[in-house]
Amino acid sequence: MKSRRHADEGSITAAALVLLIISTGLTLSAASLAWTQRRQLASFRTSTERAVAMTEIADTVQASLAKLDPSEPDWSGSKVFTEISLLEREGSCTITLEDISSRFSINSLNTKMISETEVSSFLLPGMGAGAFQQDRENDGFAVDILARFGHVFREEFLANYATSRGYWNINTADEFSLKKVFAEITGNEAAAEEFHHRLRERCRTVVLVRPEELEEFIGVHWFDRVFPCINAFPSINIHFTPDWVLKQILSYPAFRVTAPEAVALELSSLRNSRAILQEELPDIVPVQEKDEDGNIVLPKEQNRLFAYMGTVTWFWQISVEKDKSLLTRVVARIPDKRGPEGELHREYRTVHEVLPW
Amino acid sequence: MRSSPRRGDEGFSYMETIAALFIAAISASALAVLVLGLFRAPFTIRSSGRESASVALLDRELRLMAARIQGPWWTEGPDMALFPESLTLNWLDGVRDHTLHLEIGSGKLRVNCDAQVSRLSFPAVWTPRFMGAEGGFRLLLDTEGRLPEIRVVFGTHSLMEDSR
Repeated sequence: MKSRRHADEGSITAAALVLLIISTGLTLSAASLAWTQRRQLASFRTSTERAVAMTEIADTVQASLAKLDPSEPDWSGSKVFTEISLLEREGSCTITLEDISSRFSINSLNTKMISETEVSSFLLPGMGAGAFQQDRENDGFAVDILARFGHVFREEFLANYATSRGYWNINTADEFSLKKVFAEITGNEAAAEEFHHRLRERCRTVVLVRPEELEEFIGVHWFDRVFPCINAFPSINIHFTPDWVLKQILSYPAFRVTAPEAVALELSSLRNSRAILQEELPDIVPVQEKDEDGNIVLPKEQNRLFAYMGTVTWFWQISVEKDKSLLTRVVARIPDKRGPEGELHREYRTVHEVLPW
Repeated sequence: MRSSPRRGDEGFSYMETIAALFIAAISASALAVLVLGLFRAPFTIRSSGRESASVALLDRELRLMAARIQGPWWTEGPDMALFPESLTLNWLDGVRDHTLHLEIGSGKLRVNCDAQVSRLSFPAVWTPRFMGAEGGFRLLLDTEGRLPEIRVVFGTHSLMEDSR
């Protein structure tokens, strides 16, 4: 009787042991799964927090740009660059603010600007300015310029001197590109034809369309639709234009700049030392108004160079790099609007953003 | 002469037996629930882990895809053919004719990225559907009662949409 009781006790202990081993195994596997899940969630939370922090930094840079005096030229000594240095120190990150619109706007570049400057040297064999224009007319504008026009221009030109982020300037853009963008925005081919016709008439008179008369020229109904994509503000910021682009613009025969290479050098040197004002440009850049006989053929105020070169950056790229993650945002400046009391405001809108997921 | 039962050999009364069986049944049920719960715990954790992982994977995949849609900033953005179970967009990687086609259903998200096809799995019992959203799209996921939503935006935003 005593020995049987002992045997019973032994069998009970073995069952408990087996149960204990099974439950331990199950508990461990559950704990392991929970741990893995917890780690994944922690990693997800960390990357989300980092993305939020980087987005906030980009927001701060964008807000700093908007806070600048509307009449102040965008230049390398601007207050926004000082604020970026502070933000970099506070946020332990690298911030880059780059003007990406002060290059040749591939979507509005006119054919003469290609054929009569060194831009033509970047055309691929068998390609000409006319073929480029036809290609743009047939297959449309570019967002990714390397993918879209890689078969027309050499990569060096597209990567360094061209951009797809640029407004269409009514005074300097290719007339067919203006018609095309008008049609794309409004969806009205007949209105685009009529607009093109008015544009050609105006070109014959050599008189520039001033920003203040643009609404009347385009027509009130269409102006609200196409502005600011089509505008009359200078599209290139002289402070950030690459030296080579600056030299090509000044060398363009239609702008009639006297000694373009020397002027390009002078402007490159001047922009590094101080901000250049829009009003100063006609005095800094000498242009020929008269022909050989002394007749005025192109008055300075009608020279399209001063409708092309200005001191405003229309598209900025903000890049924030932190812990090997990169956030890229492109913001477009909307032409200044007056507030209720007549004060001017800068406004920037995001047109492109890649978050660091 | 019948000997009287010895002390301890009297047995149990009917009521005592019923009470003992009742207590034993409750204890056995509790133990069964405990043991079953212990057995089911890893599967429950795995299932909820899989659900979270599936939502996270879908979220990541769709965000990456949407970021590659870089339509024109000067018009109203890319063309979108939107149905509950499929979505087609142009302007993939900034090229007008390059398209992204997504099809969802039966536990699979099929991605056709300009002829490059890939798939992503998720629990087959879910009933997902695509919906429109400003500057992007949404994917509603009915995960057996819960309704998580993934909202993604395109890489490029239209300037003209905002101005109106």
